[in-house]
Parts: sequence; structure tokens; C-alpha cells
Amino acid sequence: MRTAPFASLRSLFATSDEQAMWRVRTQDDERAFAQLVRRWEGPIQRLGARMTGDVHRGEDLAQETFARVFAKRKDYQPSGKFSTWLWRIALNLCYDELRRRQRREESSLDGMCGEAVAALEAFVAPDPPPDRSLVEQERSELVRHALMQLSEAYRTVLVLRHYENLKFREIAGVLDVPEGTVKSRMAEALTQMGRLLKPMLAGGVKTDLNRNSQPEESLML
Amino acid sequence: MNHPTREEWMSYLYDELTAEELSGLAAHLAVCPDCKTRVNDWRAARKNLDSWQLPARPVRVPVQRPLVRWAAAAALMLGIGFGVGRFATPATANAEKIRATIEPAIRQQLRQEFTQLLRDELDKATSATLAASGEQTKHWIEDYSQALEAKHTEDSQAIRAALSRLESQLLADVVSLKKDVDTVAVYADAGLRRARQDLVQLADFAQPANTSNSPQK
Repeated sequence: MRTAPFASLRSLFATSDEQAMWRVRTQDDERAFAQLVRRWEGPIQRLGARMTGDVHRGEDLAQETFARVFAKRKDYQPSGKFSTWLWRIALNLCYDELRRRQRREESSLDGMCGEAVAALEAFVAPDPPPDRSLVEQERSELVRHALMQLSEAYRTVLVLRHYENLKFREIAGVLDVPEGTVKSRMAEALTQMGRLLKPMLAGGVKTDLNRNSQPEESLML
Repeated sequence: MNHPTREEWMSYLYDELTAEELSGLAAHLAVCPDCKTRVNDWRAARKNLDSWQLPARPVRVPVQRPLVRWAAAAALMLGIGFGVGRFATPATANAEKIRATIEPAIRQQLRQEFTQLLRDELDKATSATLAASGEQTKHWIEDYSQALEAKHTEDSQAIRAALSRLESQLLADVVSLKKDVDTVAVYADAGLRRARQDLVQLADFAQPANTSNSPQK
């Protein structure tokens, strides 16, 4: 690859997240801020998408996160890791969004039955990539739906550890809880996911999301 | 049997253990069917999680507002320029023709400008060098004349001192010679006197003998 040596050279001279954020804080450095956005927009978009189950909302949440980072730049403490601070801001925005959504559903969809809600959720779900098979798409949708049924605390740990590959220690720093708590939440999250997915996958990938049938045979387990 | 905690199993599943801890848990897993079932359930759940793939989307980089304005202004100017150029130029004219027309003129102009620039720079460099070298030469000549004068003075003093030494030596030699000559003269005079006395005595001896043999008058 022709660009590889230049990429490694660039990374050699690249400023750290903490240095860039310090420039943003002290000098309102727009270039440093753009650098941080470039580096972190993808992970924060993914976090938002996984937490809300909506890719488009994930993009909006990433924008809101960086807007808040800039607005709160004077609160940044250089003694801590920038990523810890950023994850925390993004997660708080995700929680706000989930609570807003819950209130909306409670008020506007009060009269609607569960099936209709599920149908609506399926309707607003992001379009899958066109090259994936139908079975894969449906399995992906089942997992997304199961993840949305986890409590926020379990979903957060699962998303950060499994999808974003943060260490348990780092997650403990973001959530400000002991590392043991993070691990026990992770174990519970995996247990619940297994329990949720078992009947869904056992009934075949075309099983309705809200069907409460008992599993005949597990596909994946 | 002492089973590992589920927290430990999480570290095991996500590979956050030391080699020693890992081998300990693996050994337990090999002999404990209960733990094996639990861990397999978690592994299956993990595998299912990977089924949810997010669509790859291009990263949107929010550009800065001034940059957007400048970009818009530049795009507008480019558009206007292109439009004007496009409609002002005859349809047959193409880029190659325009290039062929203006390239020699631009080359000529550039060559002239570069030549003039080079000449100016050379003149400047030459005059600066000459001025610097003239000043240097003058300085050197002054130094040389001073050194020469100093050397001349030194030589004169040395010659004068040598002459003075020679003169005093000569004087000393003359005095010494004179003394020697005087001494020789004194000795010679004394010798002469002695010889004269000897002659007188000899004469006295001879005369009485002569007188006794001759008759008295």
C-alpha cells in the first residue's frame, strides 16, 4: 500500500486526544476540534446506534455529543483521559434520548397494542445493507430487538465491551463504578441476551419478534 | 468444587486475564460440566451479538463555518469564471489551442522575468563581494605596512646596537694595543739605555789602557 508509510508517519507526529482537547479548551482551536471529531465520530455514532437501536439517531447523537463537548470544553480536566469524558457525555445524551422516547411512547402510543409498537419499531429500523442475505438481515434485526429489551445499565456495558471493545477497567472509569460491578453486569447482560435470543432463534429467523413460543431447538446454542 | 465467579468468567471470555489465571480457568472448565455449560451459553450469546452489523456509513466531518463560506465563495467565483470563459470563447476554441496560443508568451515573459531577476541578484552579489573584498584588502595593506614599519624599527635598533658593540670592542682593542706598544717601547728604551751604558763602560775600560802606554805631554 502506498499510503501506509505516510499513515504511520502521520501517527508518529499526531497529537494525542488530550493535547487536542487541551488546545480546544484553552485556545478554542477549531482544527484540533475537527481532529477529535474525525477520530471519534465513528465510535460515538456506533454507540448511539447500538444504544437507541437506530442508526440515524446514532448520527444525530454523535453531532449532539460533539456540540456538547465544545460547549463544555472549559469543564474538561486534562488529568483524565479524553475518551472517558467523551464516552460519558455521549452516554448521558443516549440516556436522555431513551427517556424522551419512553415518554413519547407512553403519551402518544398509549392506546396501541404491543404488536403495533413492534411493527412501528420494525418500520423505523434502518435499512440493512443490500448485499446481505435475508436470513442474516432477520437475525441482525432479532439481536437488535433483544438488545433494546435489556435495561440501560446492562446494554451500556454490553455495547462498550462487546461492540466498542473497551476494557472492563475503562468501562468502570466511564461509568464510575467498580470493575467487579461492570463484570457482573456484563455476565447478567449476556445471560439475558441468551435467554431473549433463544426463543427467537429457536423459532426460526422468520419468527415474529413478539411471539412467546417456547423453543423447539436452538439454532445457535 | 470451588467454582470461579462469573466476573472471572467474563475476564476469561474477553481475554483480560494473565496467562496463569487463564490456564487455571481453562483447567477448571475442562473438569467442571456446570461451568462449561454456563460459559458455552455466554459464548453463544456473544456469537449472536456479532450478527448485528451496522451499515458502513461515510464519516461526516463537520466543517468549520468560515471554511464553508470561503469554499462557497471560491466555488461561486470558479463558476462565474468558467461561465464567462465558456461563453466568451468561440465554440471551436479548445484547451489545447488556448494553451498553444498563450504558452509561448507566458514562457517568454517568465524567461525575461527570471533573467532580470537573476541579473539583479548577480549584480547585487558582485557589488557586495567587491565592496567587501576592497575593504578587506585595505585592511590587509594597513596591517602589512604596520608590520613592515615595526620590523624596520626593530632591525634599525638591532643594527645600531651591533654597531655600538663593535665600536666599543674596537676602542677596547686600541687601548689594549696602545698599552702593549707602550710596554714594548718602555722595554726597548730600557734595553737601549742598558746597551749604551755597556758601551760607555766598555769605552772606559779601553781608554785607560791606552793612556798608560802613551807618553805624558
